[in-house]
Amino acid sequence: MVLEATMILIDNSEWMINGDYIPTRFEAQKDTVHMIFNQKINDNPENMCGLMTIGDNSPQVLSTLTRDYGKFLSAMHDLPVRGNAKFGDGIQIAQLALKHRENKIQRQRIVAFVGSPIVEDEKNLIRLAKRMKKNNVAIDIIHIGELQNESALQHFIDAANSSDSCHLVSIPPSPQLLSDLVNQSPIGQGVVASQNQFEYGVDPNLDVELALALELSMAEERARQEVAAQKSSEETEDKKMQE
Amino acid sequence: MPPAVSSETSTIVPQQVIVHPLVLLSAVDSYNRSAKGTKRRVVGILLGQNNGDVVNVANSYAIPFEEDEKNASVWFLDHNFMESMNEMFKKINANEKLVGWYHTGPQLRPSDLEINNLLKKYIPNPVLVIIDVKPKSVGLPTNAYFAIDEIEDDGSKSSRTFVHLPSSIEAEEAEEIGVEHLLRDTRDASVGTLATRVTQQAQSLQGLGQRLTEIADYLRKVVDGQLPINHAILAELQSVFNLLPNIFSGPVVSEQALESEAQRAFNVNSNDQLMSIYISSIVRAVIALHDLLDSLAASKAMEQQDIKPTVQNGEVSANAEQKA
Repeated sequence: MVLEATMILIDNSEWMINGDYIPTRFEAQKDTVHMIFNQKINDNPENMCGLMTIGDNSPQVLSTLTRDYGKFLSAMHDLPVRGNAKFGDGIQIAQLALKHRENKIQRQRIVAFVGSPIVEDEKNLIRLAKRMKKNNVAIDIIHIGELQNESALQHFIDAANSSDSCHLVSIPPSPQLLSDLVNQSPIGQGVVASQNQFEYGVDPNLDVELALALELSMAEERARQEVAAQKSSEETEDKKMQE
Repeated sequence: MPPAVSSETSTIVPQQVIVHPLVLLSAVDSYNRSAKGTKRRVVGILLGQNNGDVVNVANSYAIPFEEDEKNASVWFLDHNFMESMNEMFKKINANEKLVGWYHTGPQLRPSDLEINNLLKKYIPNPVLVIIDVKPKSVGLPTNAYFAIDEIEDDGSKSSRTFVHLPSSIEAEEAEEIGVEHLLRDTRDASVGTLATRVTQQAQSLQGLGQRLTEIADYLRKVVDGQLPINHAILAELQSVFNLLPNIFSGPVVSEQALESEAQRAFNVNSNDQLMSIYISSIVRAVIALHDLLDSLAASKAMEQQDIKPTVQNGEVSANAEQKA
């Protein structure tokens, strides 16, 4: 139940027309973006998500932080797939957008898709990562396609990471859906992980009755298991006696 | 004169931008709240009417804006905020439409064209007004610009650029009253209207001097070959010189003769003016003396009347006692 403001960065460079992910890299990204948006919004009633592109030779904010799914859909509609991606500039602009969030209690997170070669110098990327760490911005990178970027991105994540808040997920081409693979990764498991901090996966402050019912059910189950264990132990003793 | 049209986009370039004091006030207030004492600039949206020739900027509001000072391509403008504000302004006053945007510069920045392109989603031809919140020179604190496609002579790809538009500050009656009300504490009551007028004249002349210096610098650069000859500008300058009064008569023999003739003309004119001032001051002095003599005569007559005793009902009393 982490209270977060998340900027999602879509790579809409011309590398995204490749069909090595189903149906194309770009369409696979769009499905994953929908999944991440829904996860983040359902995770906490005050979470917000924004959307921006890093391709088309210049990063562009499509939607600032919002909970409105309709606004998100309209922002994603008819996106051009052209030009080159500017990863560094995109991260910086996303950070500026997060800086202008309404609720300052929200933690800042950037989820970036990278599916084209990174042209930025590794030193500059590490400097940028340190700046993000200084500003308490967590970064998740979903790396698809161009696997030669992996070492640079890993160094970037290592520099930006503080208390395991940043993740790099490299997903090679496969017949499975990208959204499913991301859902199984640490980025997609954000909701599940946050739910596991409470017993039975339910926050007793939000739903007292459900938590109580689960506790009673658990107590009954334990009692039943104890009775079953006693019975089985008695049966084994009887067998031994008979022998 | 018909409005200029850029051939590439066939958009009508406005001839003038009128800025209302309310817009200046809003921009300065926004700057003082969020960017005072920093190198940051404030960005906002201009509302008003655009009838093709004249853009009338009647209202404005600031919008969240952030940029990286080192990297011009890194900037963020909250256009969702802008959309919601536009919706609300429509409900208040439907006549005030989005006409452009402003920032507190004080000069154009590399990212301005990109921001202008972002605004083209909402309005076909936005106007940019740079409002100098800390003006160092005499003159208007506003500079208006309009983005056009500049077609190169060599046939290369056209590039987008800003052209300068003439701007003026005009106020409605209500705004004038409001501005006067705001300035009531800043105006020095001890300074008379004459002093104010003289100060304004001096500032006007200072501004004129600056413009003439600019013209001289430009012409010098053209002569030296640093700038290309622009016939439109030279034609305008020629018309300016043609409008100047001809104070020299006859053929010009030499520069010295020209100077002496000008000197003589000015001397004659100033002598005429001084003569009228001299005569009027003599007349005033004579009238003052006449009034003085009249008042002396009147006071003497009064004194003589006071000395004579008057008899009323068998009682002797002086006028002074009666008055008391």
